[in-house]
Amino acid sequence: MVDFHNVSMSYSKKSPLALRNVSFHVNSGEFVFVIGTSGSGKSTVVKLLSCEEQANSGEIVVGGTSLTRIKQRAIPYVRRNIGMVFQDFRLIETKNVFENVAFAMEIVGASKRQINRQVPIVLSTVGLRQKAAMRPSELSGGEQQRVAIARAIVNNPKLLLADEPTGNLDPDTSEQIMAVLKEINREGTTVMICTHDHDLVDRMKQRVIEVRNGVVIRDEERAGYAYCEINPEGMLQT
Amino acid sequence: MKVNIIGNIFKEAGRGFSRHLMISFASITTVTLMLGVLGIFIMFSLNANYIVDKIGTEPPVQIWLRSGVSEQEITAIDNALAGSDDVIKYGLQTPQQNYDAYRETLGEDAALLDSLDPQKLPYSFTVQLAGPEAIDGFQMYIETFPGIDDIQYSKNVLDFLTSTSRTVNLATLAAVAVLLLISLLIISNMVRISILARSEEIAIMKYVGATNSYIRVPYLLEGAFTGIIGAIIAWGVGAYLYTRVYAWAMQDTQLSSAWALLPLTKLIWPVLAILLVTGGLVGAAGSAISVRKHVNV
Repeated sequence: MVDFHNVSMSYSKKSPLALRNVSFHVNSGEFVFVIGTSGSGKSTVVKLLSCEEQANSGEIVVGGTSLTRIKQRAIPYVRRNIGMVFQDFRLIETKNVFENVAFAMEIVGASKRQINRQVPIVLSTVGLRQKAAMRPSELSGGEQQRVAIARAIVNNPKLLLADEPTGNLDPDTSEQIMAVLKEINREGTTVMICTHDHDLVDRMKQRVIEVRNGVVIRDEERAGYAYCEINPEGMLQT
Repeated sequence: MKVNIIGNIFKEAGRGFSRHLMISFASITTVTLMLGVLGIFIMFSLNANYIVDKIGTEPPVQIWLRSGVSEQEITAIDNALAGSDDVIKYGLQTPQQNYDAYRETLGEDAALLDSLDPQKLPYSFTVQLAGPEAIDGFQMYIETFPGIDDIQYSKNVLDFLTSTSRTVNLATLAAVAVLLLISLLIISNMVRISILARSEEIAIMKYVGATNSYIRVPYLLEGAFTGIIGAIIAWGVGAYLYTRVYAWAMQDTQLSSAWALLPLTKLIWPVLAILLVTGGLVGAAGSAISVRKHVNV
């Protein structure tokens, strides 16, 4: 589903590399955490996958489409296959819950009938069907994030990309959001989550790709957040 | 592009237009002013050309021959007139016909001519040319024939109308150019504010896969709407003012007169078409300036 092959990227000619020879492969239907501290490079991974930035070298392939040599006019069509969820929800305040979700379908040219059929289904998936007429300002943080998730999945993307989706939420609400994301993953959508939420990663026990200083230092199945290594003296460190 | 997408684009354009009513109002006012000046220029220009054309053809050119001109000389001039492409029609007036016409113009004072021998008056040709622009060339050509004493036509009036028309056209074009620039800047700013106010929404649109044209076209339409509304207002005001000017100017003028103005019905549709196209284009171009700068997928 997602292929990073020796990807390097810097934001400008003078700045240091944000990613250095990063390689990993995510299969279709996987649930993956990309973890790392602030400035480690995990958000750069998100920006490259959403075509906000372009790699300097290496190759990125999403769903069979190479993003390395992609033409500007093809970018929107790639994005339609990637659902995006952000830490700050990014909902439109002037639209209600239903309209916020329907908006994503309008953009791809769905008919009113399709929208009226699909949006309630997606709102049910995230548990917000009863709040379809409410404005974002009337919802809690967790509910707003669930609206954002509904918007991200309404067009049935193959990949759901979440950048710190629980960054603004309390632990209980974070748990609920992760449950929704896991449910979406169970239905076949590949889910990639960039986070530095230790507890969440530890509880979920999913594949973890750790980025530090622009380099992938760990890629483990069913791992926790903490990086374990044996130091030169043979002591286990976390 | 799907029908639903086109519908959404128009809906967004309408929303954008009504979102910043004060800015939209300022933009429409500027465009109306610019197009109002353009409309007046077109109306003046169409009327000036209409009158110049009529004056150029209706009052004929009068060619007076020398007294004692020979038959051969008259025939040579006649042949030259018959062969000229600039001449629509012409006619020869004998001394007797000129005498009778002269008497008629004198009216009650015609008795003054009683002692004058009609045969003392010269022959003349009355010539109707294809247009006022043909006069100079025609005069230079016909003057080369022997037997011609004088050529008379309304040169002063034509020159005045042509030069006034040219001056007014130039001044109006300059004014339109300045107003056009101001309109472009104001519409461009209107759209820029609209874009900045919706920057978050635009960012979301990009993330869910909106194409550049899906985001940009509503802004171009918003600008074009502004231009078209300005055009319709300018046209309405211009038409009203023209009917007033027409009624005033035509009080003592016959419709068949060379000085008669163009009736409103002959003028109003071309003016509307020009103003709508100009307004729409200026609006869309003003928007395009901001859209190109601020909206990129």
